[in-house]
Amino acid sequence: MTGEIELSIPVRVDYVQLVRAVVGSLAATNSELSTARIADLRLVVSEALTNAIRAQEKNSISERLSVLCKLTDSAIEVEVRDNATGFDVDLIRDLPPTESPERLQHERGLGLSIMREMSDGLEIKSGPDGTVVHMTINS
Amino acid sequence: MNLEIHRSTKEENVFLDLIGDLDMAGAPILRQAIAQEVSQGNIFIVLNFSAVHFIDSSGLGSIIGGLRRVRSNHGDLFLIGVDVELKKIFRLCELDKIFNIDATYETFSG
Repeated sequence: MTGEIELSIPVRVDYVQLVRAVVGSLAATNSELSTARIADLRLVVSEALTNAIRAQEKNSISERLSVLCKLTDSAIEVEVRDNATGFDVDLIRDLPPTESPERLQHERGLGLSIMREMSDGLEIKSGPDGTVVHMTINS
Repeated sequence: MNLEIHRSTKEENVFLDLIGDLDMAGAPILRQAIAQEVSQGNIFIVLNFSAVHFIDSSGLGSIIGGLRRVRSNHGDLFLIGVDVELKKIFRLCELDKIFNIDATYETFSG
C-alpha cells in the first residue's frame, strides 16, 4: 500500500503518543516494513515532535504543528514542521563522555543523535520561520 | 497510555513499577516520583521497566536526572525488566555504560 496523510497537531505533549500510534499504524500497512523498523520510525517521530513542541513552547507559539507522512513501496517518509524561531544544528554541542561524572548533568541532547542513528535519511532545515525535519525509514 | 507508577518496598529498596510510555509526557511523572522518594529519604530506587515498551530521549533524560538525584544523596538507581527494544536504545546512547540493563527482579528479591 502507498499513501499520504497529514496531521495538524496542537502544541501539547499528550499528542506525541497519538502521532506515534498513527504514523506507526500507517507504516504497518506496508508489509515490507518490519516491526523493528516501525519501532525505529516511532522513535524518530517522537524525537522530532518533542523538539518541535519544546521549540514552540519556549517561544510561546501556539500555532499547530504539521506532520506529513508519505508511504511508498519501499519506505516511509515523515516531515515534522514547527513554527518556532529555528536553531543552528552546527551549534549543538556534543555530550560529555558517558563515563564522565559530568555526563549526569545533561538530561537532554540525545534526540538528534537518535534521529541520525535510527533513520536512513535525516534532513533538517531551520530558519526564523520554523524548522522542518524530514526523516526516511527504508524497509 | 500515560505513564502510571505503582510503588512497593522491599528492605531498603523502593520499587517503582512503570506502566506505559516513557516519553515527553511520562518523563515529568517519573522525575516527580523519584524526587518525592528522595525527599522522604528513600535513596535506593529500583525502576521496573517490564511494562514499558517505548522510551525516547525525554524518558532517558528523566532516568539520568533520577540517577543524579539519588547519587547526590548517596543512594543509587537500578533498572530491571528492560526489554530488547529498549536495550537497543540504551546501547545506542551508551547508557548501558551507566546502568546495568540486564538486571531482573530476582537480582533484588534475594
